[in-house]
Formats: sequence, structure tokens, C-alpha cells
Amino acid sequence: MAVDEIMILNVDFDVYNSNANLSATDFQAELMPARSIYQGQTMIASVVATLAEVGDAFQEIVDEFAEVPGVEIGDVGNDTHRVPMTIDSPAPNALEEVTRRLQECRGVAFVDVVFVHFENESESEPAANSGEMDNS
Amino acid sequence: MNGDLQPTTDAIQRRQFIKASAMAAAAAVAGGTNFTLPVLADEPAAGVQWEKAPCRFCGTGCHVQVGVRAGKVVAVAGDRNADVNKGLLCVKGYHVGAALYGKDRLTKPLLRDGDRYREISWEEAIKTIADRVEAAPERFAYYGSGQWTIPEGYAAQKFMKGGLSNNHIDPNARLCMASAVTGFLATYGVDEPAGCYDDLDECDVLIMWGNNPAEMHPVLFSRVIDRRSRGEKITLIDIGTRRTRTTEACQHYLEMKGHGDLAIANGIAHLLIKNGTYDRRFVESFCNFKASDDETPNLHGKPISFDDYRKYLEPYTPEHVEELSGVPADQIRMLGDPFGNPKLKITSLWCMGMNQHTRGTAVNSLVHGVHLLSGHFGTPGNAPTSLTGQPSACGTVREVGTLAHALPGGRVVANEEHRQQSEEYWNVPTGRINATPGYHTVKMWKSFCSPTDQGGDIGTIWVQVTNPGQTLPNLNKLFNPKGDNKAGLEDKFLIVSDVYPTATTRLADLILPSAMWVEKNGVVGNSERRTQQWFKMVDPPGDARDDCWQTIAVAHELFDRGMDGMQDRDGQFLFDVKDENGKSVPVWDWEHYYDVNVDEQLFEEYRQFSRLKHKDLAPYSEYVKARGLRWPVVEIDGQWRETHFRFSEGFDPYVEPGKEIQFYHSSTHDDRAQIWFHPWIAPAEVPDDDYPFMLCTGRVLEHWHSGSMTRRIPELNRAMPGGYLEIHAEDAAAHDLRNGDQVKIESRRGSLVIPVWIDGRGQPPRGTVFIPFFDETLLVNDLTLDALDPFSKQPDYKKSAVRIRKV
Repeated sequence: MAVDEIMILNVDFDVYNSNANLSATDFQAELMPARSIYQGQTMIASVVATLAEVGDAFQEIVDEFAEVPGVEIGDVGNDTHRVPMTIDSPAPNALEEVTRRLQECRGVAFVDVVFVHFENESESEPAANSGEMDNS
Repeated sequence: MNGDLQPTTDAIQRRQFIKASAMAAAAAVAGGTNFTLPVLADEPAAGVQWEKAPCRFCGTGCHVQVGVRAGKVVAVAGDRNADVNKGLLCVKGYHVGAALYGKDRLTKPLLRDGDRYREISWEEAIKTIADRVEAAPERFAYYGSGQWTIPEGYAAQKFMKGGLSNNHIDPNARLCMASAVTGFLATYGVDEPAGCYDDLDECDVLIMWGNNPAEMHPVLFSRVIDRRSRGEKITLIDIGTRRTRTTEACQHYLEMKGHGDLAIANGIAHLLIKNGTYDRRFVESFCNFKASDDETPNLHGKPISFDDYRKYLEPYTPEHVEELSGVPADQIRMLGDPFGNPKLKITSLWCMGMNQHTRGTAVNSLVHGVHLLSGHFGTPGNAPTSLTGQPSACGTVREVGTLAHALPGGRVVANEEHRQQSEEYWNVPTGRINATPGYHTVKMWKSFCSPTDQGGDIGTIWVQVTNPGQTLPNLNKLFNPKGDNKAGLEDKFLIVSDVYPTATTRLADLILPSAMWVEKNGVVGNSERRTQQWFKMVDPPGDARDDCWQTIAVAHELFDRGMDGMQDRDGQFLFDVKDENGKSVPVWDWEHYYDVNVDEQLFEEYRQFSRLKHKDLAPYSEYVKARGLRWPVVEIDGQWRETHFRFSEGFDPYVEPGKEIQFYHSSTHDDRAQIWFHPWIAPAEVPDDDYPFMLCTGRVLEHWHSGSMTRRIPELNRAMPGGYLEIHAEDAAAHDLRNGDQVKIESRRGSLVIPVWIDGRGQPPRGTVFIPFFDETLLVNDLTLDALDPFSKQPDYKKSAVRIRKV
């Protein structure tokens, strides 16, 4: 088993104990304290954010999207309830992270995936402890 | 990107082009333009070939465009031309392609040799299976899933019932949607939803009964949220045993105790009758009333009058329902109001919460009954609809009938006429099909894990596309004895075909490497009666091969050995496949398997079965052209037309003119559906002083079912690395627990040490804890109860009494 897998499965949960009421996002973020999302391989994706009723705040919300690293906003035309975006991800796991950040932006009801290109992605890892086998 | 290498101009241009394509796709979906997705194919240097396929994961049936370059899947895009998802995907769509490329894909057949495995040839593997079958065909069982494609399931079905005269074939879908099947049968006389996803675009009220589509069927939920964001008024009501992401989007949350749904449905019916707001015309025109026949329980029950029905419902006042369900009486009244309003269109959704239930058939029937009683049925937006969790739980399990009692097309082995029809289609001798149902899932595994001399008469099980070593209930009883306590089980033999090592392969005697998703041809059927097809796009790794080929190869080995069952009436091989010149092709030889389209030939043979229950399928070639078609698909004026709403005049071609609504497979043969009364009954196990918490199990957004695919995707594994126990903050405080503390959780069947997550993604009420089942290192099913619904034989994974203590 690779070292990083051991680390993933044997997370030191003491880090949570300072705060018994972490949000779901905080909890997940804390699960990966050593994770660096801006290293490694690259992926390109696009998503559509569906907005709740946002009224005059539309441009502010779009500006907030634009501040998320790797995100580029597409042309929204006259439609102010769906915003197309690309995510240029310098790390495979960054897509999840960026999507989560977008989901948590003000006024966002849902973020759906539209396109993903993962040609340069590193090979997937074995799931930890998924059966010891000797193929010899 | 490697920092030592400078990207070339070509690489930069290529990247920019990909990004432009990605943006164009997103803009098209957001703005509704007519952009077509395979734009990368327009770039000569890209060399990307695009083809359609349904997503590999859940039962929603989203269509994707799959980009292939140099024999490898390199891109995936939501398919704008697909009605199901209209170009959108959930976050699992990021990784559906990468799921093919885990480092530990199984690539060679492996035979257990003591505590080790040795690589063997496919020839030896096939002979090994044939030896086991030949030695004791009646002791052989096949365990599949709703991930079997239709041709795979059909081949397994024919091999077992048409070849071996053996009905011991059952799917993991027994564990997830069998109660939905029995609910539909009891109500309409025929399985599967009358409505479809179009209802989500039309309904005014969407009620989720123990269902969390925001995480489990996100694209469908997004479709509803999109309507609201465009200013449409839609009321979302979540009825559940814990708060989830779905709850956050709903205007109303009704938090119930386990089995509270039985009381709630009766409470709605009580209010409709008491207030006189039920749809008298609909009921008098299209419905009968039924109640359980306690002396001989069956799906026909006993007829009752409307007055009987009203009398049975009298006790279910909102206040009494509050006592039974924990839902405040005013919320029960709030729920009754829309059902009493004929101007509102109401859609109900449910999935595991209502199905994994020892009264699953009853609660399914009751929810159908509420829709029928109120007349919220049969028009767009008015539908009771169950969802499925696997890509072909409907197409393969329910329609092909890979269940221990079933035959293809809604037939059953116990019916002589159905057996004769099946023998005719299969061209096998009369009497070949055994009239006695085989063992359902729990019984099959119980027999396999019991010594032969103690009644354990299943000696060999072949598992394909599923992971029972993780997903069966009460694992210590139903699976682990094979590994932990082998006394008396030495003669048992477990065969597992899979793509990755799993909790099941760990105990296998023979492991077979399988092809996956677009590494093979396929046809599946989703939750809304939609049949979907795709072609093989890339080669499987190493020696991995199609599951369907594996079945045919074993069948042919037995045919070569002279086993009568592998011959048809004319002495021909059961799976005789011919080329365009009518010449038999040796498809049992892998080198020739793709000389012809085996899927197409099996599908065309199977298609004959589909008409008995008016689930007509179109020719295979029609599915090649379409993004799926919803059955019944009927040829009208030279066009193959799908059916959006079943049993409704103007939509369903089998409804006679002037009938308006016609339940043409009514169990009472009068074109009427049955409105059932079932009483509230307590769960099979309830908390007590020794085990004071109720344990509920389920899924998470990041991982699909047992995680055998998604846990190999680094992004998903990092996002959700391991199992956890959700607990209410006050219960945690009472046990001196903080986030991340380890607790020992025990039931009467097993125990587990697991970290705590307080007020996490899901928020259970006091007295309830939740553990997801995706983590094979933390097998929650060591704790779960194997109590079954008496009709569907589906276990209840949602209600096991447990206790916890900090460790």
C-alpha cells in the first residue's frame, strides 16, 4: 500500500476536536490537511451554476465566481439564472474543490457538470485495503 | 504538468481549444443554444472520437458523450441531445471515465491456491466453472445485479432457467428495489412507474419520501431547482429520518421515526376522506379497495369496500399519526392539503428509504394509494415514481427478470403458460424450465454459508457485477462465515467476476477480470422505462473480458461436454449466434466474440418477450439512433414511438379510446388499480435499554454504492476518504464525543469502531445514527438486520438497534 493511501485512511482526527460543530465542508477540508490541490496533473472542465432568485445581486455573484482560482466565466447573455464557467484545474482533485467552492457561493442553488477533459490525469489509485492478492 | 517541461505552442493551442470547447458546451447548456458537443472532433490534431453512452453509475440514466483518443477515454461531456439530463452531469461525471483506469484493475483470471492466488488461463477458468456446474447443477447459483446490461442478464437468465433448469439466480437489486416491484404489482398488476422524469418539469408539489435526490440523483434534483430559479412556483417537501442536502432545498421537512411513513400515508388518506377532498370520480371509475389477507398473505389481498377502507383509516387522525410517526399533526394536515387540491400537480419520489423496509410492499402500495385516492395520477406532473440506484435495475432485473421467481417480460416460473412461452422463444424442450422459484438473495447466501449437511444446499455461487461481501445485510451470518469460519464449508466455491478487487473477491476461490462500461457493448434500462444502448469504444485492460462472453463460454464448455441443457430442441447450442450470411459464429471463442454484435442478437431475441406486459421494445437499431426510448415503444405510421405516461389516454397507445385511464394489467381484470389499506406496524427491531439508538445506513454523493469504482478515483477518495458515524450533537455530548473520536458501535449481530461526525453532511435526530456503506474497511453491514419484507424479500437496512461507546 502506498504511503499516501495510509495517510488517507488513518487521518488524525484530533484536528477536529477544537471545534465540535464543523460544517460539512470544513469537515471534508480537515480530512485532507496535507492535500495540495495545485500540484500535479491538469484537467479542464466546464460547469453550469444555477442561481436562486438573486435579483440585483447577479453581477456581484458572478464577480465572486470569477475570484475562484481557475474559473473563467462564459457569456451569460440575457439569462441571469444559469452561469456557464470553465475550470482550468492544475490538479486532478481541484475540480471537486472548485466545484464545492462554487456551490457555496452566495445565491447558488446547484452546480452541474457539463464537460470534463482528463487526458493528462494521472492513473487512478487502488482503493486502500481492497483485497490483498498475490498474482505470482 | 511537469515543471521541468515547457509546454509547446501546440500544447498550449490544444489546451486553449479544449477549454473553448468546454466553455461552448457549458454556454450551450446554460443558454439553450443548438451547439453540438463533439466539437473536439472538429480539431484535426485532437483526434478525439465522440460516441454516446449512458453514464455508468446510478439509475438516473444520464447520457454522456465519451471522447476517445488513441484507445483511451479522455473526455466526457453531458449529452445535450438527451432528454434525461439535457447536457448536465453530477460531480460523478467528472470521473466516470477515470473509473476505467484504476491501477489495480483485475487483468488475469486468478485461482485460489491455499492462501494465495495464481494466474490461470481463461481456458482453465472456464473449465473450472464448468466442472463445478457439471458436478452439481442444482447446487449452482448465479448472483448478479442491476449493473448487468440487458444482454448480460438475459444470457445469465437463459443459461440458468433455459439451460440448467435451475432458478437460483437473483440480483443485488433484491436489496434495493424489490419492494418497489411488489408495490407496483399489488397496485397496478404490472411493474414499473407509469410516469417519467417529465413529471419533474410539470409538478407543483414534489414530495420526497425518505429520498435524498440532491445527493443520490443530483441531475434530477437540479432539474427541479432550475425551475424554481427561473421563477416557477414549486413546493418541495422532504419526509425523512435525517436532514440531508435535499432538506436544505425544501420548504417543508417532516422528520419521522422509522416506519412513520406507513402512518403518514394513512394519515393523508384519512384526511382526504374526512374532508371529502378525495377524487370520488377517479376512485369510482378506476379503483378498487384491498386489504391484507392475514390468513394467506399475498399480493392479491382481499377485496374490501370503500366503507371498510374508511373504517380502517378512522384511527389515523393527525394526532394519532403524530404519535406513530413523530411528525407533528399540523404538518400532517399541511401534507394532506395539496392532495386534496385537484388544481395542484403532485409527484412523489422514493428510493431506498421506502424499499429497504420490512413493510416495503405495504408502504409502496400506500403511497400509490394516496395518489389514486386523490386523483393525482395519470396527467403530466401527477405521478408516484420510484427511483432506482443502478443503471439497469429496471432494464435487466425487472424487465429481463433476473429474479429467482421470474422469467423475461414479466413472466413467472410458477405459471405454466409463461414457462411454455419462454420455452418456445428459447426453442428448448417443453418442461425444461423448472416451475419452482429459486432462492432469493438472502436465502441463497444463507444456504451458501451453511454447511451442506445442515441444509446448505447451494455449493457454488458465481457473482457478477456486484459486491455482496460488502452489501449483504448481517454479513457475519450471510457472508463472513465463508472466510472466518470455514468449518463445514470446505466444499463451497465462490466465483467472482469483477473489474477491481473488492470485499467479495477477497473471499473468492476464482476471480475473473471483467470488461467495464465502454470497454464493451451494452444496453440498459433506467428508472423511467428508458432503454439505452452504446457501443464498445476502448479495449479492456489485460485479459479482462465481457461478462456476457464469460457466461456463453461456460455454456459452450458444458455443451461440448454433452450437457443436454445447453442444447435447444434442434440440438443446437443455446447461444447460437449467426453472421449476416446465416453462418454460426464461434462467439464462445473470445477471438470471435466481436465478429458479430452479440448484444444485438441477444436483444432481438429478448425483445420478443417484451410484449406480454405491453413493455414493447423497439428493434436494437432504433436504440442506436436514439438517446434511449421509453417503453412501450410502438411502431405507428412507420415510426417507433415511445410512451411518456403509461395507462393514460392520449399518451399510452394501449389505452382504448374513451377510457381516459385504463389499468390494462389490473390484477382484478377490470382495468382498475387497487387502493390498499395496510396498518402501521413497528419496525422489526426498535431501540431499547440495551441498544438505545436506531442505525440507518445509506450512500454519499462522492461514492457510488460500495465504492469499488469511486474509491479508486483519487479525487473522490480524497473528498470522502472513509466511513463515519453521524450523530446528533446532544447525543454526542451525552457520550462525551467530539468530532473524530472513535466509537464502538454494536448491534446484536456485530460491532465496528468508527470515527464520529457531529452535525455533518446529514443530521440525524436524537436517538438516530447514520453510517454510509461505501467503505469496505468499515463494514456497517456487520451490524444490520436481515429481517425481510414478507412479499419482496427485501431486507431493511434502515432500522437496526445499536449502542455506542467511546473508545
